[in-house]
Amino acid sequence: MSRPTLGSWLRPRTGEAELAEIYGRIEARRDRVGRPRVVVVALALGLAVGLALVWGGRRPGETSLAAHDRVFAPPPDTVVPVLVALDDGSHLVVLPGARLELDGPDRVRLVRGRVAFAITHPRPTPFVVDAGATSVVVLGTRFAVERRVDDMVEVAVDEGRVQVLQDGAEVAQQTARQVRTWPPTAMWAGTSGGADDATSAETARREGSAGSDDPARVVDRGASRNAVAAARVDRAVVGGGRGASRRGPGSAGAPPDSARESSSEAPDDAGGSAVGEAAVPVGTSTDAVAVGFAAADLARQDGRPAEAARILQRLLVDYRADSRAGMVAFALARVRLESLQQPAEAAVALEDALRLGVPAALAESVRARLVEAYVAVGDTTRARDVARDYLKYHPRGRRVEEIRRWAR
Amino acid sequence: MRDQAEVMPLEGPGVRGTTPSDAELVYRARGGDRRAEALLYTRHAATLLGMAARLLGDEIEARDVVQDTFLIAFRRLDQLHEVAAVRGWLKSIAVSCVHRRFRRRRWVSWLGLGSDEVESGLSAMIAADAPAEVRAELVWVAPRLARMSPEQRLAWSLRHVEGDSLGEIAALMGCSLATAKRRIAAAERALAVELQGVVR
Repeated sequence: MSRPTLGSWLRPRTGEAELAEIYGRIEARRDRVGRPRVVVVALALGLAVGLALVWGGRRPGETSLAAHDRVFAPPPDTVVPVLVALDDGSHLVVLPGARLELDGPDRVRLVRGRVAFAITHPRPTPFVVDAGATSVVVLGTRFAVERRVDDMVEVAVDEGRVQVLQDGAEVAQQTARQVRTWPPTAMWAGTSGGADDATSAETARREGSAGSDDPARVVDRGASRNAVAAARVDRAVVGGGRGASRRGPGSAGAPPDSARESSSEAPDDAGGSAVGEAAVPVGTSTDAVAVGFAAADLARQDGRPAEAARILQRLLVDYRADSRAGMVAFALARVRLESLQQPAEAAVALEDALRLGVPAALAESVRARLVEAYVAVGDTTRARDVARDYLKYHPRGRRVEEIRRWAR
Repeated sequence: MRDQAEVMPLEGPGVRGTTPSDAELVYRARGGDRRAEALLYTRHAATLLGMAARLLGDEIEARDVVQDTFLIAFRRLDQLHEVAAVRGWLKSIAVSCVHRRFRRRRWVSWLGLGSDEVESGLSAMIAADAPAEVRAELVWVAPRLARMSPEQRLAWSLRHVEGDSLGEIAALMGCSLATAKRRIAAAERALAVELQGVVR
């Protein structure tokens, strides 16, 4: 007799209630599929604006940052990235100051700034990123491309392999954990112009005394679960612990002398003309909290509140010292309270938000929801205390009448 | 807006005897009959939910997969060639959604936001009457599956958890039979290596 499958001993809950709830969600989403989804998460432009963006019920195509879902350009004076989810499951993170235009389902044009790509595979046709004379062709991998004001293009590959073209001709195959900076055209190779614009990644290469074949340059961060922490460690390794770091998006300051002197020495094992190269992780210029917020909001809007909660919970643990931690806690509380119907957990998150600190404009909303949460779990004593706090701190609050009931 | 009023009832006192077949439901759903869609859902959702939960190791996420599966299916009903094979078609969409979830986890993990909690979910689903050795095997294998590539994990799970044949796995994953075999073999090798480490 054959052995039963392992699955026969796994019994997930598949009750009528769960199935009915799922069907309700399907019905609700029937008319909301088929376009690239844009999620704009606001964090630093002002918390009131931030909340409106994150929780104000924005839907794809309605954002002022995008025109017809084809142009993505978060303003440079914010830390807010735009997360673009394509229908094929690929994700693009357009960082502040960048402008990205969709030229088709498999082609984008990077006008300026930095964009991180996670392109799904297998795919029938390659995905192409055009950045001036430089194009990056991929079949499915994770990488980032940054086009600077001087048209220098940095390509950072996190996983897999990409093909780099300049003026339409292949100049290199870049592999995982390689960061290279490409001049505006292939003609620039080794010129002083290229040298002047060599990246600090190039500095890192110099200071680390590591050539392109030097295995010491390749930093394995596969085991790390925290991209930002790993990035810090990697930069220290690459830069010999002397403060070498990459510039953020759009920053085009003059590099140190050492970089200027050495840019033409940058090796290129595929015959290309990169002027800078180093093993620097892709995610270093990505604001993890902002991207996490975007990912959570995408999940929430897509009807996956549990995933949204998981991401926010993780953010809260990993970035508790961040000035936006209170916002994260509040966002988590809203998901728990409104989407997951978990008032007890929501109350914990709301208390956390107050502890971590939220702006005055938000504090009113936090306290009001905290009252709601305690009422929902039946803790009338605590609900009364918080309601009294609400009336004390927000005597002219929008929900005074409603809250007053619970303060008695 | 679809006109529901003109659609004949599928079940109930006014309907002649037999339960409609999947093919009939598909034809009706293609014609805009939402009750036919609902019946297709009722008929297949529980199976898909169970499969997705076992593959993902997460019951909550499995609900999202079922939701995505039917959203895709209802949108693409016109593309279903063998209308009688709707069950397998739905299953292949669900597997594709699960695959996407695995990739999403890697993406989230890449951002440093991953969570280990999810991977403990498989252990939580073990039936109370499961033999001790099965229980031990599932507890041991769950975290190791989480470290595999999405393709290997899916192929292995379809084979050993769901009990699908190699041909079914190839069809569900949209790959060749050889690729399916290779993925399962790679997953088995990875588990064997880990097991050797334990035995030593």
